[in-house]
Amino acid sequence: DNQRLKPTLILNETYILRELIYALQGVDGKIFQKDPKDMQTMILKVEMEKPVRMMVMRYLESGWFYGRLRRFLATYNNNPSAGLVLQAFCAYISTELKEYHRLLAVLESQLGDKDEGTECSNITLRRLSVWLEQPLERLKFLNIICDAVKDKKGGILLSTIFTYSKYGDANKAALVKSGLAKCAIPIRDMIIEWICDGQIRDIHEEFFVAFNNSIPNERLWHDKYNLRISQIPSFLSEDQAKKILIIGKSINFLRVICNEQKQIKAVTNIPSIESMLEQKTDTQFQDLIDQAYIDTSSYLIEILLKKYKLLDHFNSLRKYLLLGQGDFIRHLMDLMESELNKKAQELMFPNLQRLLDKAVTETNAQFEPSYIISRLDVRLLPPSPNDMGWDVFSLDYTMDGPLKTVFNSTIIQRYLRIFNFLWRVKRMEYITCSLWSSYKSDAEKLRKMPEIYEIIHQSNIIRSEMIRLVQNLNFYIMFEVLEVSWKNLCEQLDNSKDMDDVISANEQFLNTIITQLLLDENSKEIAKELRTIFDLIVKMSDLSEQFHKIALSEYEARKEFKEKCTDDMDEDQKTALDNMERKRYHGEVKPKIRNAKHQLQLLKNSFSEMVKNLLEALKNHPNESLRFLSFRFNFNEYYY
Amino acid sequence: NPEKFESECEINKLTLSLQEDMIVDDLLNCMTGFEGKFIKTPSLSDRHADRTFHIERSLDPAMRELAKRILPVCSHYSTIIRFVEEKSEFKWGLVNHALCAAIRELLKNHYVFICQLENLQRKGNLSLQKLWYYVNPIMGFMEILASIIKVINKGDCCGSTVIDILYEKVLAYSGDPKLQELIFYLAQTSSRPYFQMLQDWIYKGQINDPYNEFMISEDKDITKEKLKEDFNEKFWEKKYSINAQNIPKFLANLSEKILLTGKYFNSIQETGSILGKNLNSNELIPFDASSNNRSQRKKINFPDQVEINFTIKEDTYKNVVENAYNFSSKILLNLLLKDHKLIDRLRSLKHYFLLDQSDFMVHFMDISEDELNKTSSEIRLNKIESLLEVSLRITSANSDPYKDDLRCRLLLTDLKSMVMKIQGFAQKNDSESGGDKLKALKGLEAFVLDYSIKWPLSLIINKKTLFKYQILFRHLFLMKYVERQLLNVWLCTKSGELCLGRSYPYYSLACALRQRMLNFVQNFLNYMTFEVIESSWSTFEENLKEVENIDNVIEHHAKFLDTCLRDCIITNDSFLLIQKILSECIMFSVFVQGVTKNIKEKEETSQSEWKSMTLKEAQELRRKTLQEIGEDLNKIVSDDAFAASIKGFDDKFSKLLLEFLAKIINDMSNGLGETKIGNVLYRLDFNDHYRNQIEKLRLTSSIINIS
Repeated sequence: DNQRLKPTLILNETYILRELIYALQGVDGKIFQKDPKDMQTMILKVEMEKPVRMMVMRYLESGWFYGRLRRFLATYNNNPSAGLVLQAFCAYISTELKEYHRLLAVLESQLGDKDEGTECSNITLRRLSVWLEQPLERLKFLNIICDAVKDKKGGILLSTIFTYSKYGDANKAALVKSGLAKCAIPIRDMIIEWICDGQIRDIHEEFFVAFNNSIPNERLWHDKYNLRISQIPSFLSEDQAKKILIIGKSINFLRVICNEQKQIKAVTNIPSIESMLEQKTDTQFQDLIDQAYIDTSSYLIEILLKKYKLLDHFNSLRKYLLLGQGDFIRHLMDLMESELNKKAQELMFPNLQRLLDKAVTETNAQFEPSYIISRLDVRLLPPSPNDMGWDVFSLDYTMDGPLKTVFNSTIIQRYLRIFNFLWRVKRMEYITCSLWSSYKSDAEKLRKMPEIYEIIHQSNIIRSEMIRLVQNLNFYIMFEVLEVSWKNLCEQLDNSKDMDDVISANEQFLNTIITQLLLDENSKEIAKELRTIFDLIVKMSDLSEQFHKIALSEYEARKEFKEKCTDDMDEDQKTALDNMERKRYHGEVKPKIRNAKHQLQLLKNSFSEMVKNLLEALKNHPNESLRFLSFRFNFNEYYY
Repeated sequence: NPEKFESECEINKLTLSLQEDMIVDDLLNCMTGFEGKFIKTPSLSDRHADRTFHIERSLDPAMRELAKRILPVCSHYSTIIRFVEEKSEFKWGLVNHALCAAIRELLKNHYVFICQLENLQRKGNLSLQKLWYYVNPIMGFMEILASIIKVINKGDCCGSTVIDILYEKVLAYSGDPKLQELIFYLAQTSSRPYFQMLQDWIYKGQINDPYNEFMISEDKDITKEKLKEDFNEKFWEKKYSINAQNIPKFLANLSEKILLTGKYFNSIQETGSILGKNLNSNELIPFDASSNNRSQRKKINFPDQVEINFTIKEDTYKNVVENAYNFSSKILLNLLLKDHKLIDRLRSLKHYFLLDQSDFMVHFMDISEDELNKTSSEIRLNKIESLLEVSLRITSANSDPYKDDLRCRLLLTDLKSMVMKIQGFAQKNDSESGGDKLKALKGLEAFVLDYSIKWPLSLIINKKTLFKYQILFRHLFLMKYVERQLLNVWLCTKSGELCLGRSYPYYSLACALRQRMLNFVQNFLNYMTFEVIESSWSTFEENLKEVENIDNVIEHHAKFLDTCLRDCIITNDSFLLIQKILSECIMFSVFVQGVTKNIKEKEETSQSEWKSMTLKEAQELRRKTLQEIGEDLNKIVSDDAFAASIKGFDDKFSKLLLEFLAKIINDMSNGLGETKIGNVLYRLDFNDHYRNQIEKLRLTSSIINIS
């Protein structure tokens, strides 16, 4: 009995094993065939003893995993929409499968060999467990990853694999890492090409730098290239990604906008994939990025400074648009005054340009190099009805080439807005001062008419209050706002490492100025009040001027009267003349004086009212320096 | 041929040798996790249950008995393989993954062993007896492994708990070197990911912990940027914290140090920009200055890193951790001392809070007195701020580069409750009743300086230490204020003296009282500033020269502050007495100033009239005003009410002062004599003026005590 049973079992086993090895590769045989229902799982066509069946089913598991990987490859291998990274991943999976094939081939070849001493073959069903244990684990693990990376591409795919590489079993972690290293090659190559040549070849949108060809060159720096945040592989920090973006952007900027064709950085030794994945231990990749970043950015900054004289332009913006060049501005105002007093619609553009040229040639501005002064121009803002020349006039500074990236039209627009405000404040100072000088020249004459002088005195008081306000405001603007922010700007420009730093420094500069000059959204109400105060000052100037004229003509009239009253006149004549004079005075002049007095009083009241409002608003302003401005205005608590 | 197999179920019909052959085959199957023909297993009740086996009853009884003895191995195998399958899943964490990998490695040997047995069987060489003999040695190991697994399964353990369990088992089996070696292998492999994390943390300050297994947890929401708006020390306290569940027991003692080590590394890296510029001269950190900061930051690594491996010698861990700790602490200390000029910072703090070289304070009091006399709700903080700035800029404080960090605030709580807080009296009732006190708080009581400190100096000067500085400041400020008030009283009374002479008893009593008060306040101020603050400061600075790490600095700093607080009698019961004395002084000066207000005004008006007069007229006027003042004063002074209140002030002040002095004597005899408190006594009573009275007081109080 014993003799009879054994051979059948052995025969059966060899047979089963052969069939099994086919089945492990998904090939149908006599015993194992694919389930017609799903064409994936293998089913037994022959009934077996239960232990053998269990064993066989267990081994078929790896066949099942193998089949899934094959199907994965079939889906993506020749799929044009699958990205480069997924292709690399498929290549990696097929090398893994090749290993598996090799194993099965070895097993098959051993199947025939007889173990010495026994009649049975080298391979038994049980021994298969030793052979298949590890491949099964690997296939299983690869399947998990395949499920996870399905339909993903580029950086997202890499990030996914990277999370799976954090596994406590060192062998499996190494398995994933070797796969990851292969998959990361396309992205690594894209990074290298980008930071060396600024080129992107990325039809599947896998790279984390995206570009948009429809953006005009003018906006190249701002909008053409962007980060696809989701595509940044998780083994790169966002910081690195930003640097990488800036490097390539700088290269393109230099090439397209600055016409610099010099190759800045040639990567001689391409960093290993491992240095990209294992940044904790290997700094090669990080060093490359850092070096390339420093090289390109500093080269770009150098070009901007040396070839395009960036700092000079900053400086001249400060001088002309931010009224830094005092003599020029003063002279310009002198020249333009009569012109700008006209209605906005009546302004002659060429006239203004001529006056500007005149102001340039007659002041220190003439010593500026021509590449700066030629950019200075006049611009008229679109007028609204009732606007005076003052309201629409503005200096302009034209920019071109790379400068246009730093000073794009919105930036220039903001500079113009600031200029408009500063020009207005300057004008207020100008008006109040010229009031004083016109008064001063006639002071002696006016003093002789006490009832008129009283009003002049009144207006003098108001004027000096106004002067104080305007001068304090001016001081605040010039010293606390402009000079301080200018100093900060210079510091930031000095420390700028790349173009973005320059742009953001400029933007920050403008932002602080705009906030501190009450030009931003938050201060709209306060700005309106300030505007009303300015209007009052203009009104005051008109009023005083009118009254000044009245006073002078009255002086002349009296002088005439006195000349008429000669001693040789008789009483009657004298009385008649006197009556006439009195009639003239009471009929014509006195109402005027009364009117002027009344108006002055009104003006005074509304002025101090407005100043109080302004102070109140400033006191609660969120910006600290503006709060201090209120102390400056009200240092002796005159207003409350 | 299926039918044939079915019929074989009747095993008792076979020969014994065939029976044996079959059962050995079955056992081999069971040992690799398959059911046999005659050994069946019912399905499991739950996933962690033991697998049980049923052997065909008709089997030869002896063989059945022997087979039963072998069956536990099969059961253990089942437990083990189920564990490996389950815990290999990602969610169970790195330690479990590693443990599974280690067990798999062991199972490989097991499979090879089974194959060898099969080989013997095929050769017809494996009887049941032999099988029993071969299986015996692996039995013990399988059992232990299964028992470990059961413990792990029971608690769904992962991370450090698993390591703990293995650690205990290693210790528990120290009698059996072979078993211990095996468990040691398991422990070593499975703890490797954990130690990798530990290394990353103590050598680089990084956390790579995807499954939250590590003992330090990081709050990623807290960043340095947010910190600037928020509290300074929040970063230090909350960004990294110890997760007590995740500490392996053998590292429990070291957990604090481990936390600090990584934190220091982090704080060094957070302040990287400064590092790059100024640390070139620092030899401690080996990096080159040419490349930019960010890459440098990465390079601050511990120079001689050791790979940490599982061991049962706890000293090994201790050495490793301490080395790393000392290193990081030293670097951070250097950073603070050299780059952030810690000592200069502290000196600047001392200028402002402890009124050292504080001419600015006098000036500030001059210009802000009116404002500070209002109640705190009426005061505009802006104004006080600008006044403070003015006084900083026009006095010697202008040369201090850190003066811009000084701020001022108006607090809602008074000094007393601040002191209570620091002494640990959390008195809820007090804070409730404090509600109505708040409104009454005067500007000068609410006024306090503040100092904005940036990372990483906030390690040393944080809100807690600043709080102590503020207490000292408020105390000193109050003293200064009282001194000032008393000097004002002097001004008032001086002109009165001119016209009255000293013949009026209560008037001169008032003057004498003022003098005693002044004596008290000035001496006490002297004592605090010179004897306490200056001397502890110089000790502190001496100590700072020898510090080794951050902890030492924090320790010395705390000691300095505590000494100051203690010796300035702030953290002492007598503090309330001092407060009372001071408020008595204030009340007195307010009273006298109120009384002499008219006189002062008169004098001022007459003085303004002089300007337009000739000398003679002025002298005349002066005499007249003096006379008028004299009459006024005479009227007030000879009033009984005045006498009564002066006497009242005198009694109260003397009583409080005596009480205070007696208390000091008492404290000294109670062992507080080592402190400098005694010096107060010698200062205040240098000529034994109060001595007899104190003796009397003590006598009466002791009599009361006895009775």
